[in-house]
Amino acid sequence: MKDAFLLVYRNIRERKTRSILTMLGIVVGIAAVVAIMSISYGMQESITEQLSEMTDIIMVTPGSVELGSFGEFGSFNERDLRDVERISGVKDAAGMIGEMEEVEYRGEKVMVEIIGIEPRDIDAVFGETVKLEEDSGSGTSASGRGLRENDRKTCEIGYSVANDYFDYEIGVNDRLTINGSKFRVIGVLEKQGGFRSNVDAQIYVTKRDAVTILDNEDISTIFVRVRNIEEAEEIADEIEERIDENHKLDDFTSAMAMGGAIEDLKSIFGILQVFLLAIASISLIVAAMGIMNTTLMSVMERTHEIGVMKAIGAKNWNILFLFLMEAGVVSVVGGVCGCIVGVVGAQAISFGIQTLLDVEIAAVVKPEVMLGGVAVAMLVGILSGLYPARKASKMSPVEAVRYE
Amino acid sequence: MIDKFLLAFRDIRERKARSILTVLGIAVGIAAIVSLMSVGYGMEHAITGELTEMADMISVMPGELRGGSYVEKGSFTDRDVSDLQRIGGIKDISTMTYDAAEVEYRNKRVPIFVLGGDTKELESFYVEPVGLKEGRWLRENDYKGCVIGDRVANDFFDEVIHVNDKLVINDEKFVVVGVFEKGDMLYANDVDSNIFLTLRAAKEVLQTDEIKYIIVRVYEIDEAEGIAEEIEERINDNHGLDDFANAMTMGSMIELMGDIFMIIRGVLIGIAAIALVVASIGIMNTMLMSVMERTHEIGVMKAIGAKSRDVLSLFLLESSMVSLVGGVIGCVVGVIIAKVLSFLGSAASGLEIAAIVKPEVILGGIAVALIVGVLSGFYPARKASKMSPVEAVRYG
Repeated sequence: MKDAFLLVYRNIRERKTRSILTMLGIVVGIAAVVAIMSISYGMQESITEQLSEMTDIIMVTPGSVELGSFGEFGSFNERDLRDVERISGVKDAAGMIGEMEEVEYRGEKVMVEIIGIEPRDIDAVFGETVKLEEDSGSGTSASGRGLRENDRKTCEIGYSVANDYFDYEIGVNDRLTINGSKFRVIGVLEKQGGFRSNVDAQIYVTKRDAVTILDNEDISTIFVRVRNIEEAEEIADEIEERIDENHKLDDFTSAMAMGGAIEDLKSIFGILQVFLLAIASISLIVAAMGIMNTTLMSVMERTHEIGVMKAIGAKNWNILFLFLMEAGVVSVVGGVCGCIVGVVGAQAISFGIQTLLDVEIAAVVKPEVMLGGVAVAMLVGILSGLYPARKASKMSPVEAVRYE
Repeated sequence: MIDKFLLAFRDIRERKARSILTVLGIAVGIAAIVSLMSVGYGMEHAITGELTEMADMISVMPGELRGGSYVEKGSFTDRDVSDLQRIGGIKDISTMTYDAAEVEYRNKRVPIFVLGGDTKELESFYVEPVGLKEGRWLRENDYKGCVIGDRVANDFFDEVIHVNDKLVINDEKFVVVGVFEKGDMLYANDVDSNIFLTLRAAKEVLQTDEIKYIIVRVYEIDEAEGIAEEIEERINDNHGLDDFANAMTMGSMIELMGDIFMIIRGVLIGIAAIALVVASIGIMNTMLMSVMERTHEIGVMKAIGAKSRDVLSLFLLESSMVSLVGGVIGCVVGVIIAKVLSFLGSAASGLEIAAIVKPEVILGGIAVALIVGVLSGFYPARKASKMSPVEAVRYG
C-alpha cells in the first residue's frame, strides 16, 4: 500500500508541468463552485437576518391577497383589534392607521405615508431592528428619541423622508406641516433598505394625532406577534375567520404569517443557488476531460512499464488501483487548492459587491461546502481516471512489454 | 502552407483520443456560453418584445414603485386630463380607474379588484397578449357587461362562472360577456384576479371620479421623454406637490429591463467562461505533451532547414485547429441546448420563450475558441521553436 503511494507520487512528480496544469483545471472548477456557494449562502444569510426578527409576526391587512399590491378594500375597526387580541396564542396586537398625506417642509409639498401607532406598540411592531439613526458625529442631537405616550404633534421620520424627499435635509427639531397642522420631528430612523424600505418612506405619529389629522379611525394594518411560531399559521387562519365574521364578508381579511413568507424566499434562493451551481459545474466537466486526457497519456507512455509489472506478477487490480490513485491524488490536491482559492475569491467578490453596489454581503464559508468540494474533486478524479486505468489493467503483458 | 495544414492535420489524427478530449473540452465551454446567451436573448425578447410595439406610449401614475411594490399617492382629476390635452405632440389620452369592490355571486361575497378604462386601450393592453377563453371583449356601450379573469371565474367563488352568468358588483348587476384565458407569468397579476368594465360603468359602480392611471400616446417616439417630463410638471403644478405624478415612457421601461438583462447575462456568462479557462489549460497540456513527444521530429525538421518560425506556426496551427473544431461543435451543441432549455422553460413558466440565436453570438463563440486556442498554444509552440536542433535530434 505504501509502495503504491510512493509509486504514484513519483509518477506525478516526474511529469511536473503536466500534473500542475491538470490540477489547475480542477482548482479553477472547484474554486468557482466554492466561491458561488459561499456568496449565495452569504446573500441568503443577510436576507434571513433582516427578516428573522419578523418570523413571529402575522401581518393582517384588509383585502384578500388576490388583490395584489394595489389591494386595499375597506379597513378594520377597534372591535376587530380587540377580537384579535383575545385569540389565544397572540402575544401582542398593534393596530396602525396609515394614509398618504400632503407634507410640507420649507415651502415644498410631497405626498408621504403617515402612520399612526401607539408608542408602546412600536417595539411590538419593529422589535429591535429599527433604531433611531446613530449620532452622526455632529454632536448635539442628531438622533433624537422615540415617540412617547403623551407626545403631541411630534413625529419620527424615516430615513428617505429625512434625506431624499425634500430639497433640504430634515433633522431633529425641524418642523413639518402635515395636512395643515404643524409637527415637530423628534427622531430620525436608521436606514432600513431591502425588504423594509417602506419604513424609510414613512412618518410616524401617535395614534391620537393620526386620528385628528387624518380625520378617521380606520385601522389599515394589524401587526400580531404570536407566542409560538409553530402556531402562527393556525392563528392567522383564526384571525381571518373572526374579522370576516365581523364584517360579514368572505375572504375580506388577509393574515400573512411572516415565517411562511421567509420560507418561500429561502426556497427561491435555493433554486437560484442550484442554477448557478449547475453552470459553474460545467467547468468541472471540462476539468474531468483534462484528467482523463492526462491519465490516458500517462498509461500510453508507460505501456512498457505496465508490461514489466504484469510480467513480474502484478495483478490487474494492482494496475487499476495504481492509475486510479494517480488520478485521485491529482484531483484531491486540486480540490484542496480549489477550496482555498474559492474562499479567497468569495471574499474578493463580496468586497467588490460592497464597494461597487454598497450592499453588504459577507461570504459565508461553510465547512460542508469545503468538504463537499474536496469530495466532488475526488469523485471527478476517480470517475475520469476509471477508463484509462481499466485500459491499462486490461493490457496483455506480452504485447505491453514488447511496446517501444 | 498547404503542407503545414496537412502536417498539423496528420498530427491531430494520429493522437485521436487525446485530440477528441481536447476538442470536447472547448466544445463544452463554448456550448455553455452560446446556449446561455441565446436563452438570455430569448427571455429578454419574450418580455420586452410585446412592449416594443407600444413604444409610443407613456404611462402616467399617481405614485411610485418602491422596493418592488407600487405605492399610490393619490389620484388624478379631470383637470389634469384636460391640461394634458393642451401639451403638443400628444396623439391620444385614455384614462383608467380601479378599486376593490364587493362582488356577489350565488350568495358568496368577495372583495375583487375592478378596473375600468377605454375598451380599445384595454384590448391592446390585455386582450391581445392574454386572449379570451369564452365570449367576447367589451364594447364601448356595454355599460352592464363585464369580462372576468381566469381566477375570478374558477377560484374565487364556490361555483365556476361562465359567459351570461350574472354578478353583483357593489349592488349593481352585471352580465359576464367574456372570460380571459389564464395569464402567463407576466400577466397573471394584472388579469387573472380582476374584473374589467367600461370606464363609465366603473366610475359609476365605484362611485368615483378619481383617475388612477393615464395612458398617453405620442406622435413622435423621439419626443416621448420630453413630453413625459412636461406631463409630470403640469400635474405636479396642478396639485401643488413635488414628485407626485410618475410618467414613464415605454422606451425607458424597455431600456431599464434591457439593463437588468444585461447584468444577468454578464453574470451567467462570466461563470460559464470559467469552463473556457479550464479548457484552455487542457489545450496547453495537450500541446505541451505533443511538443515533448515530437522533440526528435522537431530536431530533424530544424536540421534539414526549418526555421524557428516554421516550427512555431506549425504548433500554433495545430492548437488553433483543435480549438476551432471545438468552437464549431460547441456552437452547434449550444444552439441545440438553447432550444431544449427554452422549450423546457416555456413549459415550466407558461411564458413563450424562443431561444434567439444571433449570428454575432455564433461568430463570437468561434472567434473566442480560436483566440483561446492560439493563446494557450503559444507557450508550447514557442518552447518547441526555441529548441536547439542538436539537443532535440539526440532526444528519444
